[in-house]
Amino acid sequence: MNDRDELRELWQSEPAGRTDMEMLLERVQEQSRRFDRRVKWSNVAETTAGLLGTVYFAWKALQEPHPILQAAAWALAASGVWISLYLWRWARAGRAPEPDRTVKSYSAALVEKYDRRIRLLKSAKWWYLLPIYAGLMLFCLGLALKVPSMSRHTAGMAALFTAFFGYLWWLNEVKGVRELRRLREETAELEDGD
Amino acid sequence: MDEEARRRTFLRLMAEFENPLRRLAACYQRSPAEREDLFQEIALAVWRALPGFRGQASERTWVYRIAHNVALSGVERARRRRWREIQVEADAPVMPRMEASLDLERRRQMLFDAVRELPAADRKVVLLHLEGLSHTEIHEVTGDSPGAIATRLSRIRERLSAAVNKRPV
Repeated sequence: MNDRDELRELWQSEPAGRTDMEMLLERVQEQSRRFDRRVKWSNVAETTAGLLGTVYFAWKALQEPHPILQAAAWALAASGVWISLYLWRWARAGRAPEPDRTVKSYSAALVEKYDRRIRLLKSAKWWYLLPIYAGLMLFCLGLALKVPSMSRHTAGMAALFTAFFGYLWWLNEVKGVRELRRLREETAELEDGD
Repeated sequence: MDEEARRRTFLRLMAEFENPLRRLAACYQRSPAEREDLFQEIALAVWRALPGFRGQASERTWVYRIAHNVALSGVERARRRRWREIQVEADAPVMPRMEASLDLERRRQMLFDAVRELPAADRKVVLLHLEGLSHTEIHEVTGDSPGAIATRLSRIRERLSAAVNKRPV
């Protein structure tokens, strides 16, 4: 008997498994249903949040007599629509690869998925942060012009928004991208790696 | 594929491939709990992929593709878990048996350990080889060229044989 046969025999000499397959099937079906529900609800939640924000700011814009505050409300309403559409489009293009491809093609698709997510996070300052931030800054400016006595408070508010958006920028473009790059490298190494 | 056919195919495939899939999980995860999780993730992926199975590949290569890909994407989840300390549960102790059976158990364990220590690219090829797949089938699962598979296997084979035949100290 050659080495290969001996190794195969040894490898396959384990006692047979004792899984109750009907129970496994029930568990798998339940997990599958839960997964579908989670995806469905997360899509509904994202769309609803975008829609509610848009409706609220559009309503505020219609009520607001001051032109700059009105422009700020329209800008915020528009950013709700824009961000929802952008995320929807990205989610459609960025679906997980089918698991029944060859391992080589699957890991290449995983690496490509990481690349897309890295690009998305690196551009978040333009498509996600800037539209909302611009709307909020316009709002602070409008408030300062409308109620000059509150200009110190308004300046404080603007500084707070700036710090918060700076933190979001760091979270996406620095921390998020760093983590994704690590995952990408690890996946690429797994496939190449000797 | 209707729901009943999907159920029947799933049960048949899992019964047929339970042992190979458990062995595969044991080579990607060391702790028994994580192995069980990986086995169930593979079962879930097989269930979800079944409606798309058109029979272009054999069932065997199709199942192995899914299993290896699920194990590969487990890297991401492992990364997410890294922040918390994972207590590695000890492997189940070997029950006292006859000496020959103990020796078999010891050698099997050594083989598993040696496979686990291989780089992932080698591990996936040797796992499929040990499960009895031909070079062509391994190519269908991994996408690696048959030449590269043959080279890899001849390099690993000696290493594994040496590991298995090491005498206990």
